[in-house]
Amino acid sequence: MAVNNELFKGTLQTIILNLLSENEKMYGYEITQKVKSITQGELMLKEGALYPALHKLEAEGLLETTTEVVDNRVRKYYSLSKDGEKEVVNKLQEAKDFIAQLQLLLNLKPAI
Amino acid sequence: MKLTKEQLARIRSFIQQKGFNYIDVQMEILDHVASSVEERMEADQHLKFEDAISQTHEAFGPDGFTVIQKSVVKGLKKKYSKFFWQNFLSYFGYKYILMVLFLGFVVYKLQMMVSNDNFYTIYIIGMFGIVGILLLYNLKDSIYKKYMSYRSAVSFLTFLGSFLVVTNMAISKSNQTSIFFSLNRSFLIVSVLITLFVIYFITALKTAKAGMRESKQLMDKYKLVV
Repeated sequence: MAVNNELFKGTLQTIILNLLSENEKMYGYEITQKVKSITQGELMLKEGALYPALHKLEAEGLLETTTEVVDNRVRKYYSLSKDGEKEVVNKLQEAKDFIAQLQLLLNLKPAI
Repeated sequence: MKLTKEQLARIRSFIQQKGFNYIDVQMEILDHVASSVEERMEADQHLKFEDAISQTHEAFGPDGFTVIQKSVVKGLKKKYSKFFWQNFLSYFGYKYILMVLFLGFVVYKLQMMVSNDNFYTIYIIGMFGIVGILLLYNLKDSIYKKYMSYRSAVSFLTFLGSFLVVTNMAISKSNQTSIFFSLNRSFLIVSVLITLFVIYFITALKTAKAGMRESKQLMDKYKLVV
């Protein structure tokens, strides 16, 4: 099933922040693969969406980066900053609230 | 499977051929492409290395690697702008404000004490000093020119020229005396401009240094892999 990109876009930052809160540090390719494996291939996180989101979060100070030499190349790891750790809690709550409202609006199932 | 050094060099030259020459941009693209190529070749044992590269490139969509470069540039601009303005404004906080006011006061007094021509001479000498400092830095750090972090961080120094033009105009007009709150208005304007200029210069230099530090860290690691 191809998932609508627009639906994905709005929650991309939340998804990245949440993945990093669970995995401490990740590199770009790893994030795309993680999304793929968690959703069993249903959601494909494209490079064109991932990197702008990562660099924006980094510029905003929510992510920190470190570089390491791995397998003869330089790898850039992303991790949550102190601000990012606080923000992930807010973003998750926001997303949960939104999903509950969406369920009401679309009559999917009653709100919990 | 892990790629060999030669295969990684081949991917690097593929990225360069596509026009991506900044080393920090290249590094991020390279790791992504290499990881993807490794996984594709692992999943399909018959897949040729060159085909795996093309497939990975195609997966980036019609704009190719431009997406990464653009977002790196945008992210760095934002990061260093934030760094610059936070530092610039910090000079007006309680920690430095007295020093800033004192500097403004010294420039004002100096204009009152010496003639307009002499003040201009002092000003020009000061500017030569700044140009000297800049030349020293540029010569020393041209090695970082291939790093986008460096380019982004030094960009604030390029605005110094426009600041100079305004200050120059203000000084050339400062013999017209008009009084503003019992202060000579022209002297006051020149003092404010020069003080702002000095703060701008210090902050721009600080930002450039931060960019150099970031580039140096990357360069040290880059040297290990090429």
